[in-house]
Amino acid sequence: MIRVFALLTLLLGLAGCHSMSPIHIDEELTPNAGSGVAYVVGVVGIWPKAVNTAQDQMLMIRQRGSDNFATARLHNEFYARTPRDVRETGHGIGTLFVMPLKPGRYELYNLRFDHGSSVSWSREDFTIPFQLEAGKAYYIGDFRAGCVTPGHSTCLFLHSDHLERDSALVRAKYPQVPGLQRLDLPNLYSATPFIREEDGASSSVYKSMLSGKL
Amino acid sequence: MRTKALFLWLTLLLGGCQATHTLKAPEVDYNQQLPAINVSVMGLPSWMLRDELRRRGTFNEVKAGRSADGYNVLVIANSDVGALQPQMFLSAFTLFLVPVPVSWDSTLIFSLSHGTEVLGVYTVHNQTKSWRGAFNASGGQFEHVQLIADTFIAQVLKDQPFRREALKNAAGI
Repeated sequence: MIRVFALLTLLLGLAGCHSMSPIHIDEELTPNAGSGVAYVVGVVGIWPKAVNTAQDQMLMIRQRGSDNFATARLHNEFYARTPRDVRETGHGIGTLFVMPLKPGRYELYNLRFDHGSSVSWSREDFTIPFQLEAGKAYYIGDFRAGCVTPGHSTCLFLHSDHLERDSALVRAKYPQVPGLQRLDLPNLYSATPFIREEDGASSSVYKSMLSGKL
Repeated sequence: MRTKALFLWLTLLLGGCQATHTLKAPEVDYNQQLPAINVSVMGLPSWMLRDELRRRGTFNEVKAGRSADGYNVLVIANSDVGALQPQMFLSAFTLFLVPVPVSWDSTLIFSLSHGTEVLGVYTVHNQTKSWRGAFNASGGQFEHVQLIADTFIAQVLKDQPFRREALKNAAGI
């Protein structure tokens, strides 16, 4: 019995802490030889002061006018996780994602939170459009998630800008990616309340809820 | 072998993967671009219709509600999408394994306006017959609404109300 247990522990130890990919890209959006490459770069993770978090937080991007999509996520379980490229005090962790995509018109249209026993997303899609050109790398920002209460509750992302930090991370990890340029997202407010600017107007009530003060 | 084939045939028949619509899928180029619209819907789950309009990416943006200075689309629907269907109780007795025939019937009036001026009124009618059960949980409702949304987009692309307004404004100056 003990031997089996020890073996199992060993196997888990060897197979465990399995590193997962932070991105998924549909085959139709994967760049090929003739199409050119545009990069979408950002960080997805858990907000440092968040008390309640989901196991998996995901941003979903699709090509406009089609169902082809790409996702970026932070998965956080003790035996399987995406890389932690950013780590702050408290609960703050973040995965840097670099998505090579075909150039074209895209939109950030939904998100997904996996709580283990349940999954939540925005029932209605939103449209946060952006245009990608070949040979450029776009910085979409830092998206950090938190949930309002434990269990199957509402979760949301706080968006912030850390271009300098993330440029340095990209240069170290993905030297083939060109210099980052900031992606303008004037439509981000339309994803209220699922995505808020961290330092934007009326964000303080969300921050106090996520940090457990309310 | 024969029983297996019969079983497969029966499953396919009862599964009723096929929904039939009175509307045909329009053949238009959805990559054309139209301005942003604000859509408010009465008589139909509004998120359903807006998501199907967003899916094509033809309108620059599809927002909820109304705006004072933008383009508004008021949708008045006479539809049974999202409504309770009593025959589903029959299916429920078999744990939804045996599907029941359902139909969806919608008439939607889309009124496109800019400020106080109405640019166009479009009517779309669709009737769908389908089977609903565990293998087809929505009973073809989403396809039904998708065809309606696509037909509306096709009608607007054909009618060109935005260009007509621009021409009229240009003539006024």
